[in-house]
Amino acid sequence: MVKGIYIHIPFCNIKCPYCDFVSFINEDEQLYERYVNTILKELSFYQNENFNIRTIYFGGGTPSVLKPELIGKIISYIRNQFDTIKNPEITMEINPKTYKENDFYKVANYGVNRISIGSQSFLRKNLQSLGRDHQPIDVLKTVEYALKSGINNISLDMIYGISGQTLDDLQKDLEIYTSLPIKHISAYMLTAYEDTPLGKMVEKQEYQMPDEDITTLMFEKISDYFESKGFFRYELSNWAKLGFESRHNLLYWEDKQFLGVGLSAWSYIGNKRFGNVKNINEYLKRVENDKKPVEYSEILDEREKKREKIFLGLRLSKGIDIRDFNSVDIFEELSEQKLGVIDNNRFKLTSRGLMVINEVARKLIQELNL
Amino acid sequence: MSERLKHIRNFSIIAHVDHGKSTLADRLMEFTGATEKREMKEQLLDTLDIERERGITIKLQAVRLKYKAKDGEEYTLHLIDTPGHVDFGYEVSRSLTACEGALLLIDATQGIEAQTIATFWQALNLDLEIIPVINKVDLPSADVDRIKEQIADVLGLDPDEAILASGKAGIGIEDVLEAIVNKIPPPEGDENKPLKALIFDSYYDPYRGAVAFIRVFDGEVKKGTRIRLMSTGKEFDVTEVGAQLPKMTSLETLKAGDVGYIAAAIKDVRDIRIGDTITDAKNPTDEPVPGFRPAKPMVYAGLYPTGSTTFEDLRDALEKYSINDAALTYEVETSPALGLGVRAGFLGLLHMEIVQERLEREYNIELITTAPNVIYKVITKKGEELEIRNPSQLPDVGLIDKILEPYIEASIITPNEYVGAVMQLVQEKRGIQKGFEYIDKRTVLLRYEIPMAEVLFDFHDKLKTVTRGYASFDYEVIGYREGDLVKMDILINGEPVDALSFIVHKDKAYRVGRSIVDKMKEVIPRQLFEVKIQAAVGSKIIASARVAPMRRDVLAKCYGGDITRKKKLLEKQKEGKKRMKQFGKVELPQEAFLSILKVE
Repeated sequence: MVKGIYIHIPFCNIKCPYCDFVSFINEDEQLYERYVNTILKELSFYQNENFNIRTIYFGGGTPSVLKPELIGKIISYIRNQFDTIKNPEITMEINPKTYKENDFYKVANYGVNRISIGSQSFLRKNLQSLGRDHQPIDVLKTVEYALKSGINNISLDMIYGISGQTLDDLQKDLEIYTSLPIKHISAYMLTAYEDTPLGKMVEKQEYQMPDEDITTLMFEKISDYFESKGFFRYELSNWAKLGFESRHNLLYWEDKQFLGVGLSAWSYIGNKRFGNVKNINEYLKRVENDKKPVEYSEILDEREKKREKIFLGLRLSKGIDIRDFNSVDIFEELSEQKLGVIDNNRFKLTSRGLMVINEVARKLIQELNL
Repeated sequence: MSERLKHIRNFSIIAHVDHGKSTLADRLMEFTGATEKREMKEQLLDTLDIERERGITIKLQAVRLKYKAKDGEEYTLHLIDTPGHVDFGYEVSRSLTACEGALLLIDATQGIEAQTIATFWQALNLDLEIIPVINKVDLPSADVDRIKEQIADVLGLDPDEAILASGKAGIGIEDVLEAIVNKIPPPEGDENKPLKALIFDSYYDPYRGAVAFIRVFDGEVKKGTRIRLMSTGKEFDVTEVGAQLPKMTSLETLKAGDVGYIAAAIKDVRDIRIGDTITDAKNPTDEPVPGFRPAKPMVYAGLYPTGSTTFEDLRDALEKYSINDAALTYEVETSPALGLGVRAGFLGLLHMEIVQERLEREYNIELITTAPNVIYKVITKKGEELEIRNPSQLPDVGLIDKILEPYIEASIITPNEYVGAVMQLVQEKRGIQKGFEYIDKRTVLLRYEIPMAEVLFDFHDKLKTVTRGYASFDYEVIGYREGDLVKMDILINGEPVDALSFIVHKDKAYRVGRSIVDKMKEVIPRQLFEVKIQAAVGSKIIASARVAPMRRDVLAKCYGGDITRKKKLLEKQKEGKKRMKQFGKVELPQEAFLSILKVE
């Protein structure tokens, strides 16, 4: 049963050096319209799947480069064509400076009830170091517009571990983020992915990543501070006020099925994971010629599913159900090492465990012979 | 002597690696018309490719050439290959036994090397006619006068007899062939006597079975002959005789003086022992060719499966591999640290490397190899003599009267400016100087007695380093001597790892213990918890180090599209740990088991 739909909007006004999502700079309104029509057509390919839509998510790129009407067009298509619950969570990623107050009223009207703002930091030097083109004030305005339009389920992104960032700098961000009338914060440690401009700068030693000692401290400090302000960590990088967890993102970590449409989008339907092409022309051409734009797919066997359960489930504060696995020894060993706790048949990572999550996941997969 | 014998010449080429042996051999084949120039490259390579597909490698063990000499007569020349490494000294001596003469090839730009001298002495002891050939004379850096001086001083040969040649430029090839015909005596032997043939090489062919390369001394062998292998008494019916022309070609018969191959549907290459004598089962010879001894391993190491390889996989691979390598011996052993594996015996370190590499590459075996060791002998207080092939099996100190270790005599040839550096290096290795002589104005031959264990690991590399690559080295095992030796144990988180134990001279124990612990700290990756490494002699800890726990991973986001990528990353991480061996909760990489090799 497919429970959520992800729509990828691969357009941006600028390309951030650290971003590893598929997106490119394009301001051609005609292309936007053609792209949206293609999305609708791609959606129609999946009409025979079993749907019960609870979440819709517009991600990017920058979905807010599209006029609200185009967003509305996609939402109403989904609601008309697929079985959708009465009050689905409909999230839209919005970049500061893109949508004005009026646009918020419009998207709220089309059903958007959750927004995720690419704020990243409230310190100018951080924004500059990250190559962002907005100012702190732009974020505040965006929050204000959203609230006015009636959207109060607001998430802000935060990036830490930025070149030159001190623990005091982080403290300032933490205080501002938690003082805002928002429900959700995603805090990511800056990662220099290989094929990004940032990755290349780091390789050429033009960008100095902060050392492991300081980022480790930051990792600990963030969680402590957020929790003290009523934002609870429910996933490695995500904190929310009670009841405001991202229902859509939870689908990914809880092994639920979802359809992704648009350039480079990924889906998980039945026992198959599949991903779309990354070239825009190829994407448009394939769909317009009535072909699915899928270029990669993988059938998951039981073993693979268990492996995924481990590395996705470990990210969640509720952890994994150890009864799904054939031995408890390794879970007990990791608990003895204070990397996790076993509570009510669930194994959950401690703060220390989260810090070495990949190694713990690898160890589990190895010890459980998966 | 029969007319047939008068027209046969059997010879080898003695040369240091890179002195141009194969190029010269190619030229001889080309000149005698065994191969066309073009065919040489293309067809031979083609054959090799086919062989490779079948999973076997054939080298040219003994090529038969037809040469029409200046005297107008046609001669049959057998060029017999010799292995080019110190590990295979015995095999070299068997190949030389099959010949009446040898070309001693010296690179005009390099001069004589230690290995060449060692092989030269072997050849001389076998009464071979030696023809010095100075190769690469066309190169600008060739120094023919210096080489001639070495030939006179070191080898005691007449330098004026040396042939100036260049395999690459095709210089002096005919002179070499004429010298072979005119200087090397024809083989002696009587084809009417009972069959007596020496096995000097062998390989396993999937179609022919084990194939033996032989030199017939007396008698005759042909298809259908029932042969007996004299060391074991086993008998077989010959299915094929032939020679490499250079392709494997069936012949009617091989008679006294001839060199070629025989096949007899022999399934196990171990039945064809190098140095053994083949005779006619119905009409046997009284005496075998002298000098046979079974292959004797000099170096032992543990081979253990790791990653996805099981012990059964390893055992199957070893069984298949050893079809073609009779020198490899192995027996099953169990290590508390590494589980079920084998203790394998090798002729030397190179042999060990070859085995390890081929098991990994050709049989997809993932291996952990423990540090190699020599065979120690222990005399217990009760007077028993024990052979120790695995350091962890050394009896309790209280039970030991004395420990003996093998010694070698090493010959080192070096330019005189590096003599000091070599002396210092050998002294560190507990070497005792036995000889010092100039072999030309600038080059010195040093002889040392050194405990074999000391040259096992990095001696050759270090020798090359301190002499900027100029020194050469050869050795011969000379017997066992008492040593002041102790067993050192390595403890990981307080538990001794048997596979890491080794035997060391008492005076060096502290230094080696410190060094190995530091090396291990470098190679053991950070784990989820602290890892403590200690070196101990008996119950005394003499060095320790700790590997701090891992700080943190890369903590990246993970949404819909990241899942597959994340999986690949985990897979990669898993791959990276494949060569790790779990010891308790600690994962030890292959490098940890070889840290002893890197001790300063």
